[in-house]
Amino acid sequence: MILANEYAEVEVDLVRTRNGMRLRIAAPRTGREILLCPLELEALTWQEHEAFSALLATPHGPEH
Amino acid sequence: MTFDPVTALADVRRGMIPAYIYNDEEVFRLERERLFSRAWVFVAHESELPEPGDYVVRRVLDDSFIVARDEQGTVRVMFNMCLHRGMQVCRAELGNASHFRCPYHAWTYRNDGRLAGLPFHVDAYGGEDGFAKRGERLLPAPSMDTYRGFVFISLDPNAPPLPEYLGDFAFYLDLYARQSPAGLEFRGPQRWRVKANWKIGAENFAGDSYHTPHTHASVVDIGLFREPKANKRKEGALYFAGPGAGTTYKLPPGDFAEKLRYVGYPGEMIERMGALWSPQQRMLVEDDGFMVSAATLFPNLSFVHNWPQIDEAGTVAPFISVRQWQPVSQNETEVLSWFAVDGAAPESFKRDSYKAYLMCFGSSGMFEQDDVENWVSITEMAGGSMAHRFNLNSRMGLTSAGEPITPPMTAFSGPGTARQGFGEFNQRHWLSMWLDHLETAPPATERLDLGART
Repeated sequence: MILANEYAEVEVDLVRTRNGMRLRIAAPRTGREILLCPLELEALTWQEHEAFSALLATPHGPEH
Repeated sequence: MTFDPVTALADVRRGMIPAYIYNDEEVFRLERERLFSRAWVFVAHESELPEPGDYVVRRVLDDSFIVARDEQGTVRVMFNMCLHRGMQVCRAELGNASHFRCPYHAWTYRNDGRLAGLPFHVDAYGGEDGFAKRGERLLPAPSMDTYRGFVFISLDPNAPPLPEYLGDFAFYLDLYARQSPAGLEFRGPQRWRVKANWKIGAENFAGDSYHTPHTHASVVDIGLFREPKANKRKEGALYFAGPGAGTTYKLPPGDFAEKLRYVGYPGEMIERMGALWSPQQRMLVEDDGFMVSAATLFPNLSFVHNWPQIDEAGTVAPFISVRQWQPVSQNETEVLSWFAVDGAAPESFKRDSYKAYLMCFGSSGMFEQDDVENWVSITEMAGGSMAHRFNLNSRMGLTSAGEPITPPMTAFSGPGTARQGFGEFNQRHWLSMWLDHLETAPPATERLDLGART
């Protein structure tokens, strides 16, 4: 599934591993991706949007 | 010949309108400087932003604003210019985003306007000392308020409170906007540009019942609408109240429910209107027998409520459209036309009402096409040299001594002043507000430094 707005586009897929599953979030424009397990995803549910603002403090991604 | 404000304004005050004001660069410059710099201007309806992160981009003349619902659910209006190099931050007309990232250097703002990040803050600026990003935010609209979900802004930081501004017109606005506690639900807008001056549409909707029988004759001929025939239109009342003015139709005899059924409302909607409306609002319909149709809230927001026949079986369905006459220049206007319907209305009603709207208004609507042909032509004529030589007569309803030929109505339960029959009282009322702005110096504003420790 592709999610996009005027600022970003990501591909979201379910990835089945031998013994479980992960959610893959890929950003074709930056070439980066991350595979999140259910626990990590659950942890996202208790974040405030401020947490993402902190991630976006460096809007291009890591600066090192 | 150049615009001579003193003479022109005196002419307009006596109902004689210099024809060139409908296509004149200097007049438009004054409107920009003195009217749109101050007036409360509609930018969006909250139903266009139902979820956190929903946003639309709207303009007040050349100034672009983001109207967004932040993650806490608060609707905000922010100037759409990046604090860094002035790039437009939101360029899509609408969308959903938790953060807005400037396309130029990637400065990133939360959807409540706060600056969340900028690349290489430490390397490039030396951190907070060089650029104090903490506390910086996209500039909020100088004044902003909402009424019944209608979001208004004013570029004047000292604008009068919105409720005070709306005044007695709120009574009529509620007849469109408060058919149930759910309020209106907006769809659209359709947006298009016409080579016409923005004032013409605003004045037309404020009170021109006189054009309907002729301009819209074809609408009656094909059986789309029963009402515009001259003798029927003449029975309607014209009212002005506060910053608004509008037209009504006289309904056939009957009680409150029968009158609203004639207009095409189903029983459950009539019950809700009856329960919610004030005694005066109900009396306007039931005892006085008037139903609101077109109206304009100064300066450039109009409403229309009509009830055409939408099929060969004669099904009558009412619709509401809200429209904005967004000036582009002295001879071009961007029209934004929304379909609006009570959020609690049954789905079948919403469907029929939408069809009624599309048949009459919107870019394909018959009324719309009839109107615009006139307005484009007026604008063209007003741009020539002859238009500087004479004043249009906008004195309908007045004797040579300036006395009204008909007294104000007493059997009219709404506030303001109402008269039955044709007249240009409403257009003169609109123009008098326009004049008040043009005669007044622009509001004081101040200049802000961004991100600088001073």
